[in-house]
Amino acid sequence: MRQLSNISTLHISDLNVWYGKRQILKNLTFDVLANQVTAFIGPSNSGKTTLVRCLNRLNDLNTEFRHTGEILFNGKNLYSPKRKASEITKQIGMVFHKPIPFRKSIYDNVAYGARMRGMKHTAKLYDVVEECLRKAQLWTEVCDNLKSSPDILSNGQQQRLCVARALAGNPEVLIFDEPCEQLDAAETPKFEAIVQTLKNQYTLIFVTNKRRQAARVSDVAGFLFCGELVEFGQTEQIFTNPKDKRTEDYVTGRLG
Amino acid sequence: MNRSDPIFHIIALIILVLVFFLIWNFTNLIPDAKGGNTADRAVQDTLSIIYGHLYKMIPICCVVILLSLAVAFFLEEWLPHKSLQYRIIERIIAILASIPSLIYGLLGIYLLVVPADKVSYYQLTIIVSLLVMPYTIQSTQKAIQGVDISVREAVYALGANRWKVITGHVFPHAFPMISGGILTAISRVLATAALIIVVCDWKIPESNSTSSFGFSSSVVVLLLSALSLSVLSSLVAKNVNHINLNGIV
Ligand SMILES: Nc1ncnc2c1ncn2[C@@H]1O[C@H](COP(=O)(O)OP(=O)(O)OP(=O)(O)O)[C@@H](O)[C@H]1O
Ligand SMILES: [Mg+2]
Repeated sequence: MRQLSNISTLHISDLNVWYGKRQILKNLTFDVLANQVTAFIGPSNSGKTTLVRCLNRLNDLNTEFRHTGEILFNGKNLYSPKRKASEITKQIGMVFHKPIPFRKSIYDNVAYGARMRGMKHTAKLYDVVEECLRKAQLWTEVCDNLKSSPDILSNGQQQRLCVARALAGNPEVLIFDEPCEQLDAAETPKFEAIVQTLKNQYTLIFVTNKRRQAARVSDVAGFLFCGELVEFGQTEQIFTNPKDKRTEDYVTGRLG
Repeated sequence: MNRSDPIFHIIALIILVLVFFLIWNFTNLIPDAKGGNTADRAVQDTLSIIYGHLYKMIPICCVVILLSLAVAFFLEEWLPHKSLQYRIIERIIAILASIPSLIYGLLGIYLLVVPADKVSYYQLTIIVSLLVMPYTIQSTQKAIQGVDISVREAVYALGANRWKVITGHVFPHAFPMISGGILTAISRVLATAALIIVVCDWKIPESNSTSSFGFSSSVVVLLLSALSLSVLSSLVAKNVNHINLNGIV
């Protein structure tokens, strides 16, 4: 049995989310604990993306977005009017479902994340870039090509570059929103291995619609269905001994 | 931008040479415009007619274009798209932009030529801004809308504020298309100027040039530069599509 840290990085209670008049998420309550991988599974359109975008305030970009309920980040209100969304996104990074390299060199892509938190010194910047590329297990593949554009990289490498870029911003929490959706079978295990190593230093939230992937990478899992958090608990329990009928149907493949 | 496109370079070069030539001539030759042989004089007449009509428009154009960019960014980045203000302003601009430049040319004839020989800055500003602003605003709006939303979100997700996102990503990504729109807008101004010169024998108060060759050739030069600007702008726009198709954003 894995030793659980009981520090709650994110505390969500009674979260309801609307886009315009349509309610997307209904009464979500859960905790994300530090240095664990928390996975969210669920069929398409169940609200997984919507949920994680609430957690780093990316939904603020959407003028239709409205929410009630409470989200505490390290005990402080995430949506407090005093806090700027850009301050939150610096602490809660995100990797999207497709690789989004910027039109800059590989080096500058990663350095961009570091510059965002005000780093300027070049020698130190280089160290940070190297460290982050190593954490994303990309360093050995790109160390000779740091000045070239990321379009020489494969999809999987580009996605790892995005991980390195997010890490360079030195976030506390890192959100992955179906990061392996566009990766091939050979790249996916590599990516999952990275997630396992990052767990020691970061708090990870991992959205996926592949059940087995969630079972492999996560410590805690939540099953979202039509905007409801049907079940939330230890991954092992969710996959072997689900309490809810719908969870059982989903993890065994009868649903979604 | 696809740097290997040869036509692009040639046309860009021709335009630069033309512009340089114009500037060079006006700074050097106008004071002694009546010297030299007839061929020289014809060229000088041509250039001084064009210059006489355009020199007031250049600063107006610059200001108006900058203003248009500001308006377009304000509309796209600050106003919520579902708000009433956005919808109304956007409609007004779309209608103004869809009016052919010929109509503005006629307005120009009415305002500039019919009442007096003297061209006032005030009237010229109205016409140039009507010609340039709606068109530039609209094309800039389209360019901003064309910036991939995922890039924008990726930058926000790294902790950028709105200003950084605009200056660091939206503007650079939209720049080729924005410049295409600006080039077309300028070419509309040039073509309209040519129209007014042709139709109305538009006088330049400061110049006593009467060479008929200079007169018609100035029209030709104006139209040619308008044409090449249009070609250039369409090439710029084509290059944009090229980039987007090639994936990396
Ligand atoms: N910007 C938006 N405006 C309005 N409705 C939206 C918006 N984004 C998502 N939705 C709606 O919210 C619901 C949940 O979408 P969401 O993207 O969160 O699902 P998801 O679980 O991430 O699905 P997928 O597995 O396909 O990524 C969907 O019904 C979708 O139509
Ligand atoms: Mg999604």
